[in-house]
Amino acid sequence: MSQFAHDVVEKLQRTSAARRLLDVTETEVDDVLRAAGVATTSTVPTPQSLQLTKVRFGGSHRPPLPATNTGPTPTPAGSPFEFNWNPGPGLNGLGSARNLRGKSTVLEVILWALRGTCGVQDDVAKYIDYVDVGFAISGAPIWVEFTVINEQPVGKVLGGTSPVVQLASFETKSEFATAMAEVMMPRLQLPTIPTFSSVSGAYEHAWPSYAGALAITVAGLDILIGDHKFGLPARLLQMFIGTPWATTKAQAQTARKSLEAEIAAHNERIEIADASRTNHRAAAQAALNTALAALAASPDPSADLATAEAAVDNVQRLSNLIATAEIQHADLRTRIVAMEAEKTEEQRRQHQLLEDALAVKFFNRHQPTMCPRCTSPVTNDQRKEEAAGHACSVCHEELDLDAFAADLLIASTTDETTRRSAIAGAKLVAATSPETGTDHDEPEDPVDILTALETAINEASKQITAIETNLRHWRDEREQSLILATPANLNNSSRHEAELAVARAQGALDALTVPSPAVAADSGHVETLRRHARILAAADDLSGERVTEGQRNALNGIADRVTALARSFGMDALTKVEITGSPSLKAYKSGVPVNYSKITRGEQLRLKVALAVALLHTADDTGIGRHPGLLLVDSPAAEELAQENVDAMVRALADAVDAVAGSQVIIATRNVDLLNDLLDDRNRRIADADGYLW
Amino acid sequence: MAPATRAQHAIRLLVLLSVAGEPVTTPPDPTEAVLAIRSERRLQALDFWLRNPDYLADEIVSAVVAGNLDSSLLAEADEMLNSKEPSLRHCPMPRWFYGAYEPIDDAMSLLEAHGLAIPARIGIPGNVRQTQFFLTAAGQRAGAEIAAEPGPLQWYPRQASFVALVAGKDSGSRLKDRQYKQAEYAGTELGSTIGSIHAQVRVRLREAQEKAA
Repeated sequence: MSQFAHDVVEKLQRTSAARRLLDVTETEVDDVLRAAGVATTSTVPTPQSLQLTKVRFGGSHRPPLPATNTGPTPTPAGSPFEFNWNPGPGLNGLGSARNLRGKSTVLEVILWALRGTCGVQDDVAKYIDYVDVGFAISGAPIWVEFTVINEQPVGKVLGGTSPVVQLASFETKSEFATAMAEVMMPRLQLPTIPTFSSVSGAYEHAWPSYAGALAITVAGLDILIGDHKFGLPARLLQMFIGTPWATTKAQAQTARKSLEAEIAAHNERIEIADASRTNHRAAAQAALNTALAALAASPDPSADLATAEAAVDNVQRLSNLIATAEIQHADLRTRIVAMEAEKTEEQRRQHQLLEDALAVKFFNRHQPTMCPRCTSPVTNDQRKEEAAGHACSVCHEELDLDAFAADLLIASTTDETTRRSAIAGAKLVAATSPETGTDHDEPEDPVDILTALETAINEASKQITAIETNLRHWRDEREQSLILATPANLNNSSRHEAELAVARAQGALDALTVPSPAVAADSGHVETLRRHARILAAADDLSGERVTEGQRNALNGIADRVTALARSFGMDALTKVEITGSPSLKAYKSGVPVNYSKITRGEQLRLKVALAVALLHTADDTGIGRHPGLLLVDSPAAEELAQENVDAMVRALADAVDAVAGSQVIIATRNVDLLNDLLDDRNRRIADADGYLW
Repeated sequence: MAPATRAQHAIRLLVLLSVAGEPVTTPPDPTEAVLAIRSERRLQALDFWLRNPDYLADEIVSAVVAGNLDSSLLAEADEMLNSKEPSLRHCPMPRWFYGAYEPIDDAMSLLEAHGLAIPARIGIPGNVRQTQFFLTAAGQRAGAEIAAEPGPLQWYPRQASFVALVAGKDSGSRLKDRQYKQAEYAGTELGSTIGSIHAQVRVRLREAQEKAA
């Protein structure tokens, strides 16, 4: 019989009449607590340390650099990249003189491997192909290795030295989260934090909350402090401080709420057995009538079979017609396009011919005056020779007589094609000139092609329209046939459903008509439940009292430390800090209380860092508490803080890390000089000038 | 599409001389001269716009947008791009070292032989320093005939008037620089014909028309 059970018994006997249980024994209390999974001893957890030993990640395509980059780029976007670092114990730093150089990404990747869920920004995450992170839990090595395939992490968790064994493997995001929880929680001796949800019944938060609490980022650590109203952060704080009895209280509270929910459900059932039953019965009868009507309305499957078969045949026939027509349609379209192109080409050709002939005719109207090459003048005699059709007046070559007949001056030595083309052109001119007066009497060859093409195009267009009309008809018909073709299945299932609905409605009605035997049996059970609920309530209250007591001292100590630290970070107006058990952090500036959410981001950050440092110290001071000693701090200079304040924060972190054995802090900052001052080569990674960290 | 013939080329040069030529002073210009184009570069550049209505339309749009030409000319640009005729009128030129270039010797000979134009080269073949082209009185009359006679050739003097409007008094080098601003033009490989910019101009024209509306 546990001491705790004894104390619970005492409490139950002393409590107010409504909750008193005089006949309860320690044995019964122990049994109830054990059955509900409530620990009867205060667990004093021994701190386990968690350290990062290695972080390596990379991809085959480097992400493009942000637009603000003006410095030299170490490697161009698109080439493979890798970041590989083995940080040491104590304080480590990631530095770059400018923002957006990958510092936060490194921290996010570490958290990704630690937590099993990815917080890396999407636009960077998609470039990361593989991640390989090593941890040490109180010295025992753990490795998390995975590649990203189709946005899912695929990999394994390994542990041990020789031999190295596989602890878990995963292929999806949810498997990864589960794997990390299952590996990390027991090794860090962290209990799962039970919380009760009235929606889903009891359920438990676990590893992601812990892991998330290890990071101080712009949004992080809000999970531990901040104006929260629900229970989770309280428990996290309790866990990290290591308040004894916190687990017991949480478990007792959860078990109690779960029981109370069951009792409430029972009460609801009894309500049904009341006078209001008449209403329910009427409703159930109405439901049954509706279901019967639906059943009557659903058609008889057998008669539709013949229609269905005919419809299926029709669908096939129409499908063939449609397919053939579609092919014809496509063919015609192609032909039309080709013919249009031919037509344009022909029009151009004819135009060219005409224009050239006109131009030539134009020049032939003018008399040449001299040879342009040798300036020898053209004499009247030479002109006469030309006019008679014998020789060119400029170059004296013999003229072609056929061409001359068509009013063209072409040497007899000209090649056949040129001669023909020129004559054709002249004929075209003659045909289209207004003097002839007979526009209808067009020469055969050139224009015929055009007319032929136009006719063919029109024909084809008409055919296409006809096909389209047919297609429309056939497609509509096929739609309708499809509907008719599937009645056999559809109607069968809808009838089946109607039958089921009737059965259900009938059953519901019957249940209401007969007095429920279950209700009677239930009452005895409910009494037991009520009794157990009282025991658990007493256990809950008792452990709660102990928690508050133990916590008060720890919280006071922490609050004092936080105040001192935050002031050293430049929060001069801060006079006092109060951390209540809820927890909420109340800051007093110049004596006036201010809520957490009402102070500036810069001040919030200072408080968070101060709190983290205080927690680290507390774990060390008291020898209890579960903070694993790992802290990731992102860009304390991101918030508008003066340089000396950032220095003070980093130095405070450095001091905390020195003071607390087995702790490790990884800080990402723009304050590169400070990192160079404080840290050895092994403990820092700094980007060159304007360059990227990886 | 068959390349333009010598006679067509000659018609174009004749029309350009009549419409885009500048006044002469004799002496030093030849006594028979009536109008002049003072460099071959300018003549080739003018011919380019005459042969490529899409590029000319683009220049009109630019001039209207810059406020140098009245927006009523956008209607002309529209005609140039969208009516059927211009596709018949599109006569691409190859690009050489100094821009779009087609040897004019044969066409100019035709004009010279008939006493319509006088080319005057300063320098020797292979090292020509300057070429000027003069229109004679007979040439000017011939130009007027083309404009007056109904038929397909009438298009040339009309179109040339727009070319003259767009070119203004710019020298040959200046015109060439303007034409080089077109990426399609500048990007053409030496010896290849300069491609069409029809699509882009259509878009610009629509925008300009909307703004003017």
